[in-house]
Amino acid sequence: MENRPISSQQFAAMTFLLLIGSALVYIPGNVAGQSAWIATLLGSIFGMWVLYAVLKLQEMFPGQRITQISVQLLGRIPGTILNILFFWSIFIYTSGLLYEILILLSVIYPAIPNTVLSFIIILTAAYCLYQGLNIMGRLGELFVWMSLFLIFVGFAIALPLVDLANLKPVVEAWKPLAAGVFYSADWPFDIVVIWGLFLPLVSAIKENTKKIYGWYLISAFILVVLDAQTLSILGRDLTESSRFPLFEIYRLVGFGEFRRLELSFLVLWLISGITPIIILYQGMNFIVQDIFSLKNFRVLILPIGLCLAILTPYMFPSDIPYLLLGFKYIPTYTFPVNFLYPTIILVAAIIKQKKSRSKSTPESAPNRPERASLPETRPH
Amino acid sequence: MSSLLICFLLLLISLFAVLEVRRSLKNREFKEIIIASLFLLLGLSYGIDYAMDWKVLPNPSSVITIVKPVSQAFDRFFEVNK
Repeated sequence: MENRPISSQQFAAMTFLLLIGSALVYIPGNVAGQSAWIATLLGSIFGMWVLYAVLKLQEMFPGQRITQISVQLLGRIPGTILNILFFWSIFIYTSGLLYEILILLSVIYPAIPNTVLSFIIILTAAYCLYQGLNIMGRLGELFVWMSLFLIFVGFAIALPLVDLANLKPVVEAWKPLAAGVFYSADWPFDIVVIWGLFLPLVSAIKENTKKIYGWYLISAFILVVLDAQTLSILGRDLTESSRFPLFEIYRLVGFGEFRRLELSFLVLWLISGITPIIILYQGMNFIVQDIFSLKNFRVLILPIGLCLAILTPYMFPSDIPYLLLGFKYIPTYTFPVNFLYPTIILVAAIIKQKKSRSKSTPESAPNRPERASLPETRPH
Repeated sequence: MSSLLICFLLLLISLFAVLEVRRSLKNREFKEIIIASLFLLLGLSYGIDYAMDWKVLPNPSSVITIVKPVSQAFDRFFEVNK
């Protein structure tokens, strides 16, 4: 029996929370206007490829993280360069997500400075990581049904406000749609590349691959439905100008005297907002551990957390630099890195496997040097 | 705000010293402690710079703006109006 801290059921739940949490605060692919929901649907194909690539790599190199495989396949220097680019991509992605949560929290707690809120979130995430990796799995398993319930209730109570005329014309022009596909592929779908670091910790992946793909597709479907609902209620212009469009919708709904229902949904934002931060934060610990070949990542938790808590308000002191960087420049960097990183490694792995197969003669035993020379997995 | 931020920085450093430094030294994990200290130093430098509003350190977001021409060309081609 494998001794791995995260079960495949927990991992599937974490996949759902990672995607939903990364995108619940805004509309993925909103540059496509009223076709944003189509852009989200098409953008999910890119994430599906990334998920396939990391799962395939795990099948070819069991027990190895993607950062270890990259060095093994591409060589020490090119592999490390790719790992550094990957680290920076995950860092700015986490930073952006942390900023979004900070802005949302500052709406509720306007008197608390952003840097203090930032430290509170990071210390909560650090505490969770200190408790062990299986806590992340349990957290995912615990929160997934609660999040699904709240999303479903939110969707149902906002249904009477839907005006499908706001979704027309369906595809006005292909260019903004293509841009929307690119942006939604980058945030949130391509972030599943982070699973390349966690798969060695998951038990029975091969038997439960369908479950993982299933939860990925459920998340994509929910995001498409929420996109379509938001656009049909708020319309194109209001959706583009709102800071948190879904939050605006929950503000609009109510029954008779019952208003301000959005506060009931804050738990959804807190749960689904902090879970991706914890996952990405742990991912960064793994990457640094592998770049410097460290024995364990535990010692990195607080220093990396400090960098994250400080550099987020430093890079994004207000909404204007954040909107410019986060929605214009960051995707231009993160999309190619998150998409090409697993793709390059997978192509290199396939080429190496083919070469080793062609070298082996029919008389000799199958030659599989990649697996024989694997170093020990270092989950802790 | 700056004094509050410095308090948080001190809290994090104390936590690091209590939770990690002793344990790592006991386990002779010197490389780990050096790398962690470098990250801590980086965070601390930016923390003090931010708290004091000195702005002497380079903003890490300038690394992202390297891709500005690509991003602008992309937006022009795909007619993105954000």
